[in-house]
Parts: sequence; C-alpha cells; structure tokens
Amino acid sequence: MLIEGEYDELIDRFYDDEWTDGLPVVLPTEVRVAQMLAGRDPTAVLGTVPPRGGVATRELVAVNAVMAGCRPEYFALVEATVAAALDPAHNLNGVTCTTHMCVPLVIVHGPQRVRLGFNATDGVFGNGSRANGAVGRALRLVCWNLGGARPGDQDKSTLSHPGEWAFCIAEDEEGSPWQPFHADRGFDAGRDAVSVFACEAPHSIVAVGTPENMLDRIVDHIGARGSNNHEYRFGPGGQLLVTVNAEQAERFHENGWTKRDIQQALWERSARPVRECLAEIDEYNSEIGARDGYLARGEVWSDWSDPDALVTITPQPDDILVVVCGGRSYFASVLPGWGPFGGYVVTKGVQP
Amino acid sequence: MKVHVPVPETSVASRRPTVFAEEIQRIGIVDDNLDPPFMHELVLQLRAAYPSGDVRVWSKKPGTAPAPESLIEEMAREVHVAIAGVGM
Repeated sequence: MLIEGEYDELIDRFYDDEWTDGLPVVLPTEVRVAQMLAGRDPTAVLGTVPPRGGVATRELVAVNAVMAGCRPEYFALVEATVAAALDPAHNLNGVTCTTHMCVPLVIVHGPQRVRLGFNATDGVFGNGSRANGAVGRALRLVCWNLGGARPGDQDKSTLSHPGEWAFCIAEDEEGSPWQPFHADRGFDAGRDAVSVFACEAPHSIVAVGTPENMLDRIVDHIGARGSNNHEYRFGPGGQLLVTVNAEQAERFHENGWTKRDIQQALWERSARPVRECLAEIDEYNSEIGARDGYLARGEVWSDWSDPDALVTITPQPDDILVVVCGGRSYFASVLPGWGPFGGYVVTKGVQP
Repeated sequence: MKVHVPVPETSVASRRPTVFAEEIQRIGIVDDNLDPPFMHELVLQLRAAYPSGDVRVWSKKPGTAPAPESLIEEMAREVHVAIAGVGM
C-alpha cells in the first residue's frame, strides 16, 4: 500500500503510526523499494512473522530493508536472515515474547562480508558500519512491523538490550586460523551464508596468556550464576556464544588447539555436579516447578538421580558456539543464550 | 512523494467473542510446561470459580513455541474460552 505526502509530513507519519522503532528511517519510496527488489517477485512469501503473524512478502521485507538503510546489494542477505529467523528451530515467537533479554544476533559469513563492507574486527558489536547496522536493523524492523515486537506489548522483555536496534556482526575469517563458522555447520567455506542466534549482549572477558589462562576466565563467565544457561541446566537444551579475536585464536592455534578442542574444554570445565545444582535451584520455587516439569517429561540430558553426576552447561560441546571476531587485543566475550527455551542457532545459505 | 506502508494491510483479523461470561461452561488452558505448581493452582482456582464448568488442560511442547494448529483447532471445538501464556 502506498501513501503520499511531503518529506517532513511522512517522517512524522512513520512515528505517529509506530512504523519505526524510534529512530528515523529512510523513507521507502517507490523507487527505492523497486531498486531493493531488483526485479524479484514482490509477492513471494518468506513466511509469517510471530507473534502477530504478519505475512512477510518479499515486498514488505524490502520496504523494511529500505527503512533500515540497506543498499540493494544487501537484499539477498536480508532475505536469508529473515528466513533463518523464521525457521522453527530458532523459535522467534518465544524469543520475541520472553521476559528474558535475548535478541537474535545476525552473524554474516563468506565473501559477502568483504564485498558488502561488513565490519568483523575492531568494535565489531558496535557502530560505524552501514552494512552491520542496516542488515541488523532490517531484521529488527521486520520483527517490529510484521511481528508486532513492541516493548510491553508482544515483546515482553524485562530489560532487553541495545541489540534490539541492530545486532549484526561478521566473522573475521581472514584473521581466523580455523575454518569459518558456517563451514563447521556444513556450508562450503567460500559460500555466502548467515546465522541467527538469540543471545544477551556481549560480556567482556580479559583473556590473556596461555590457552589454559584464557580458558579459565572464559569458563568463569560461561558458568556465571544468573544466566539462563546456568539457571536452567535442567532443561532440554541450550546454547551460548563465545567470541575470541584473531590474536587469541592464533595463540590457541599455535599451541595446537582446534576450535573443537576449545568447545570440549569449555564444556567439560563448566560442568557441575547434580548436588551443587540442586542446592542452588532449590532456593527458587518457580524453578523447582520448571525443573520438575522437564524431569517428568524426560527432557534432560543429565542423570539428576545421581548427586555426583555432572551437569554440563549445554547438551553437547558444539552447543558452545565459537566465532572469531573483534580487534586484535586481550578481549574475548561470552553471549549467553536463552537456555532451553529456544533461540537456537540457524544458518542459511544466501541465494545469489 | 509516494512511499510504501511497512505493515501488512490486515495484520490481524478482528475477533469478536462468541460467548459471554455468564455462558462459559468449558474452559481450556494451554499449559506451557514451564511452571507446574502455578498451573495446578490455576486449575484449582478456575474450578472453584466455575463449579459447574469443565476445566481442561492441553500441553504444548516446547512451551515457548507457538501452539500447533491441531491443538488450536481442537481447543476451538471443545471449549468456550482458552487461556494461553501461562507461566514464566
């Protein structure tokens, strides 16, 4: 549907009708939307966006991509990003409606990172890159305008975090000694792809010295009390994201560590015995109920009847996602996930 | 200047109640499987409030995902009122 007006009048209209997330938008003129579509079928449907169930036609996704500041050459990536977020495995319905602060993080892979100008190094989670900002915001505006993700309404997040405006990084594939993240997930390393994972904002970790020194500090953050990954270890699954920068990755690599070795070590060292977990959980009535619900349905991956059995932070080591990004420095980060409730990582190839 | 509207023309179909409070006899609850003690208490209170009514619980798994179409259709056939979003 088209509306007509003067520039200032239309900017106000987008605010008045709550079609923008609170920041100004690029007005989706006929010309800009046509350029974004570049001859693609505008009526194609990518899916319905929960929780409101707005139908994501390609045209509406293009309109929101224009508003977010995307260039037409970003659009294939935007489509793949929306498709990843709408994959049932990600559970966007729950991610949007939860009281937890998780937000889908977009992780860009493959040659498009360089071709489109994504930032994968210094300040990777921050501002300064049109590609990161616009693609991240395009997904948020799709959730806003098609999914009804309004704070206090359909979006019940107690606190949320600044990634709700735009939350998009790229992997530093050139700086990484290992194969890229999407190759770990079965995609050709030279192919463009995108992953979506719902998580908290990054928690900074000074991780220096030997691989053992770095792992010790990262383990402390992974197992920190209060995160959903920690508090809901008894559930049917959970994931979290660890970022290391190229310098740290090189140090691991020079000492013979693979990415898989790091995942395994973090997984083993963040495990805790059942008796310790029960002692903490039993302080909270609501969580006792949740735990009992999961136990009753057999949706746990540890033997809770054995007080000495180890409860891992995630079901498998590869549920600890590892991405190389950021500037070459001391700092790694942990981004806790939503725990067993969803937001799981989904990776999609980008159709040229 | 002409610009596109960024929302669907009909985001959500308007819904009107087909039953009124005094006519409610059958109540369904969508159990999110997240808080069994709370769910149990809710059922007890509804049964106390509607002693001649029927309170039934449907469980969905996982609790945070949308209810499957089959569950929604079954509840639409069997109850006057459905309560969803129970739990954390």
